[in-house]
Amino acid sequence: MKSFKLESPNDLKAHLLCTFDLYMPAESSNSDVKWSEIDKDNSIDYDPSLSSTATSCKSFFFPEREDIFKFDGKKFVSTESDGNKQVIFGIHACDLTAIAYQDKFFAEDTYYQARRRNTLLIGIDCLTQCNQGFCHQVDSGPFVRPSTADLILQPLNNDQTSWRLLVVSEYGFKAIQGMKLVSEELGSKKQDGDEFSRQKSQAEVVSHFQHFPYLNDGINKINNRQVSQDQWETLAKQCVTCSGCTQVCPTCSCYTTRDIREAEGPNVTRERIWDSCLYEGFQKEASGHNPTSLPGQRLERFWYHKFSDDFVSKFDRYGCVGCGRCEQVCPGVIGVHSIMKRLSDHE
Amino acid sequence: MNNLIPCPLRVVDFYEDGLDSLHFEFQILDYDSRDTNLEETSEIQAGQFFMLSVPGVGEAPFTYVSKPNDAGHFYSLVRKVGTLTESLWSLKRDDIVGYRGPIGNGWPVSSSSQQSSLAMNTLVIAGGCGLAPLAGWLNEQESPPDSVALLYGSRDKASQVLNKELLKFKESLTVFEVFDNLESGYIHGNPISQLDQVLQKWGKQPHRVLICGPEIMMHAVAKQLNNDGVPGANIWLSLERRMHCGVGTCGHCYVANSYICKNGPVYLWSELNKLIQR
Repeated sequence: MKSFKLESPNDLKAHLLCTFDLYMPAESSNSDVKWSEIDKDNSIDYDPSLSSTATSCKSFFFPEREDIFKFDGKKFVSTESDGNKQVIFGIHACDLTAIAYQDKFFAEDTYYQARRRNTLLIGIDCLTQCNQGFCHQVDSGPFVRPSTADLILQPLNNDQTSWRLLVVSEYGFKAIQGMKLVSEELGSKKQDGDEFSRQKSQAEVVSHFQHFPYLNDGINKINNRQVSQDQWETLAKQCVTCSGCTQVCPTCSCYTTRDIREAEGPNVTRERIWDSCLYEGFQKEASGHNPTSLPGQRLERFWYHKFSDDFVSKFDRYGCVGCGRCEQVCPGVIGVHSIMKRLSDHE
Repeated sequence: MNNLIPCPLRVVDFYEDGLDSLHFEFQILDYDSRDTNLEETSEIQAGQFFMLSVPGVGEAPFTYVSKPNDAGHFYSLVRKVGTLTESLWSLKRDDIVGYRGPIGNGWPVSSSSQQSSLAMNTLVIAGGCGLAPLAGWLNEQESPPDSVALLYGSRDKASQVLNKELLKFKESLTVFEVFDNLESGYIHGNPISQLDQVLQKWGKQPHRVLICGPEIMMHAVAKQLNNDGVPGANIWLSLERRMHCGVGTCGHCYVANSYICKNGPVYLWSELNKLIQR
């Protein structure tokens, strides 16, 4: 890990804009914070104090709709594209953890990997707890896990006037070539940039975070199979099947396919589109057989997938990264906090 | 590497083979030059499946009745149940559709060359077009005929599929046909209700059991056989789920933390039981 002093994240942003398409959180007209493409003229400053983006980064690699192939009547031709060289700037630790999770899930998916290969990830350590966030309880933040990013922006004080840039990948190192940066010697324990002191500062930050005991209780209930089918059905009465949770969840990845036929001729394009395991027809077969015909079965599936130990051997962690977006988006008030409160004894 | 791109599949021929059922002969085109990121076709096991694309309609999983030969020809049985299968009824000879396969795990590989398996009594239970994925396995058996029995349940005579194959099986194996609707001269009922009677008629204790049919039937029969002393690790069943990829990423075909396209469709009863209880 190399470390440099940085006056402002905007210096890094200006440098990267010369080479990459750059996306960063910016406030939109309706005051939502969205991933926005930044013009080459670099007119907007990066604002680290903005709240979390309404959506995660997953659509950069796994778009809501994408073409898979074209068929001309005889042959099937892939429509896979690498996309432009892009940088995603200012990603919170939870979202980076989710990208690392998706990297594993889509390890053999050439469409995902082509976009992923062309993307530079710039993480930022969080010093304050975000609305509904609980990264500290699911091991995904608030400081960026070094193996999940290429470069990390570490604010050294709360008013964010002093920064450190950590280089944590070869790709990240290449990307900052040409920048005038003052190196910091790392590896010596006296330097507060090394991993030990990073963990210490993270612990200090987390000590001010609110802890939600019902999350651990709920996780235990799910894993000990202490939630009855009746209870899932009761909770599912509040699910309006809007798929908001699966859309905003940074680790949800289910998709379906659709064939689009051109008005004339044999040409057909197949696309894949985000799907949701909460939809009634998600597992419904042509015969009418539906293994998860009850809303409670589908709700149970969603939370099992996020919090079951059964997936840990494959992904080394839970499917939930603690971003809290499902709580913010769910119109039925059965996002992660609401659900876990009711599963636990803390209701 | 996962590949979502089908290769062209030619409709060679087809014939009616049971109520609402067509028996297709397909040919995988460019068979020799096929991209090897699909698994080696020479190693296809009975019970594996492939994704069949009808461009403009969609893609769904189907099973092999026979493996592709050296020229890439193979057979597959289709029953009309939904939009995609219905679209197959308007196909003409030499039309091009799409193929991705083989996918998943097949039935246990026959070990008929080994001494021990000669005496291994195998009961094969099929319900409706569940006979299709079992036909390939049955065709490969070289055991003495009386060590393999087929219990085949269907609604009535007209809805029996794979009629040519069935005739052949009747010559080489012990076959018990049961029907939901009364057919004179045949056993009336279904594989669940008639299991005891069939076992009694066969006069053997099955050492292993292969099952494919409606899920509720498979579970009931497997449970009963398991209770009767057939170890769960000797009972195989083939599951069906909605699928959109066949490579373990679309998320549809889950049973607990298992994806049927990758870890199935053939499961051991002992393993499936653990998954269901999760």
